[in-house]
Amino acid sequence: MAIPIVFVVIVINFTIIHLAPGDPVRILVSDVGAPPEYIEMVRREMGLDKPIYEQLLIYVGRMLLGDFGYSYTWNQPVFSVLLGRVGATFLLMFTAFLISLALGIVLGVTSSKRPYSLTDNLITTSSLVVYSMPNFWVGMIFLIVFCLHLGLFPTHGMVTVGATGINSVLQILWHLFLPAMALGLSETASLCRFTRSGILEVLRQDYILTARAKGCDERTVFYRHALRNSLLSIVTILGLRVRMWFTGSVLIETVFAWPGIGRLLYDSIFARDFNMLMAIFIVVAILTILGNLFADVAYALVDPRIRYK
Amino acid sequence: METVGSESQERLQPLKQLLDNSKGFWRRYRKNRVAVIGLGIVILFFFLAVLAAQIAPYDPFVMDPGSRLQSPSVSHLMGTDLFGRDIFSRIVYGTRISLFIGFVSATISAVIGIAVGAISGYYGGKLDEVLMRAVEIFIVIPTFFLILIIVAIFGGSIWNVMAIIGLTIWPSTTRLVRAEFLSTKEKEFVTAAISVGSKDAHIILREILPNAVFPAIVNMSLQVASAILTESSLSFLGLGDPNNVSWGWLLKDALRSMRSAWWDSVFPGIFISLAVISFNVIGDGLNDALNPYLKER
Repeated sequence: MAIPIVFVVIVINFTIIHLAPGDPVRILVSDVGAPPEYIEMVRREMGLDKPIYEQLLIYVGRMLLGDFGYSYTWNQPVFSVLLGRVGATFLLMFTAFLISLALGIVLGVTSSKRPYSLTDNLITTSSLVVYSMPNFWVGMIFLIVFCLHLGLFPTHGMVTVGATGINSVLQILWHLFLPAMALGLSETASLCRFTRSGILEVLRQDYILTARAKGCDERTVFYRHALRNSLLSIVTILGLRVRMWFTGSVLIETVFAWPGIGRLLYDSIFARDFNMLMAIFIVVAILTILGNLFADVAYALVDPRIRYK
Repeated sequence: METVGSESQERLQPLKQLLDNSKGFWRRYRKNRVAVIGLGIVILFFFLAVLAAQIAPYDPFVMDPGSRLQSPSVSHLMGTDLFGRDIFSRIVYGTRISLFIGFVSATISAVIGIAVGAISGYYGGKLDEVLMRAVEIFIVIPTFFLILIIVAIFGGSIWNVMAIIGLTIWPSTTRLVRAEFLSTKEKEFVTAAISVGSKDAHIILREILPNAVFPAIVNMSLQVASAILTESSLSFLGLGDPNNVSWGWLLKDALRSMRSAWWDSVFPGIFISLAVISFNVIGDGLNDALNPYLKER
């Protein structure tokens, strides 16, 4: 399923290029500052005078090879611009992911231990509220409170110029903390909700009744039987939410001027660098699909039934 | 004569059922107090949207260099922005745009979602397989980026934005409706309808759909919430409609005045969050009210 989806994404881009009003070359070249010779070259290489199916073949071939053309906004090939940004986005997303994984599961477990108690209501309500807040707004509030008013964290960027060695690592962590929290928070809330409902669902199963009947103590029932089985649904959810991480990252990077793909996207919107936007879409789609595959592998790891099939 | 009589009686049946259900519906909905509060907030927002011109104390577009970046006060409830525009008035007008986009996008999505789900579930076979593949693709690919590219290239008028959001979020509705169709079409009354030779359209629309539409209604409420969020995010990235300023657009403007005016950032976000929470809890309430049997489990 993974490969056809990549293909579909590329075909969607191709369709948009040709449905867009005006000359398709306008989309393929970030027209600001591109010399006419380059535009002519793209027109020739993309075969824009050839029949449409031939153009499609050329386009798909180029995209699959990672040949996204040259960006005159950045004076670099699109692919290397992207490559330079992926690291920062991964760092942000991965940190946020770890935060939300730890917090989300702990909170979900806590609230499902005594459903409808005060603690549970508190956690459930606040996770609903957090889940409903736009994450970029949460980022803005963090920035206003912790950076501008309390002065605890830097307002933008990832590194401080001139820092070296262990100092530069600490600097990055210091810059990373707020954006990662802002990005991780809404996913923490969704993970907490899914963990809670997953565990409560499992606790209703007959095998839990059996476990209790044969005299397991409540701790074993809860952690060994309920939590372990509910991990399955949690892993499924993690897979489905991969794309939300990218969406969230774009918005958070915009708030904190984090030099990743999201910020690149924001700048490209303003530069009207459509070619870059399309390249980002393809790359993010591929990374999302890889994330889903990763979740499938994780699913097989936690579910022995799948492993032995 | 007699056939006409039975025909009209048959027609009356769903209407009567609907009336009976609606009483029980409200009784069940009311039990979820949070959902009632959510509904109250949405009704309030609805009034803000309709009566924006009467409620807003200032013109949301007129700049007043004399009152730039004023903090919240009696004359400017939620302060003013970089250009001296009254934030509260801008939010009130923004309610109109954000709610409108939310509702229209969710409606488009519901119509497509129900139609595709019904066809897929009822006919099954190859057609179902193809449609479900399409749904699967939509559920995996990062649709926000797709929406973003289309809006960037084709322009960010609210009509474009609503259409594109609606056209990309329908698959979740489709899945729910299809599942309902799969189970309902095996029921006896459907077999009965088939055996008396009813047309497919009649069976789909009049026999199965009334029984299969509830999850789609619940989902629609959630989709209003997600459409409002998606539109806010688009506007925040500068891809909104400058002539129809939404809540998200206000947050985009606030990015420039964060240092000096916290109120610019805080208030529009509160409205977005309230709206999204409300539609989410309304979804919960509808779920409780429409699935009385589910609750008993």
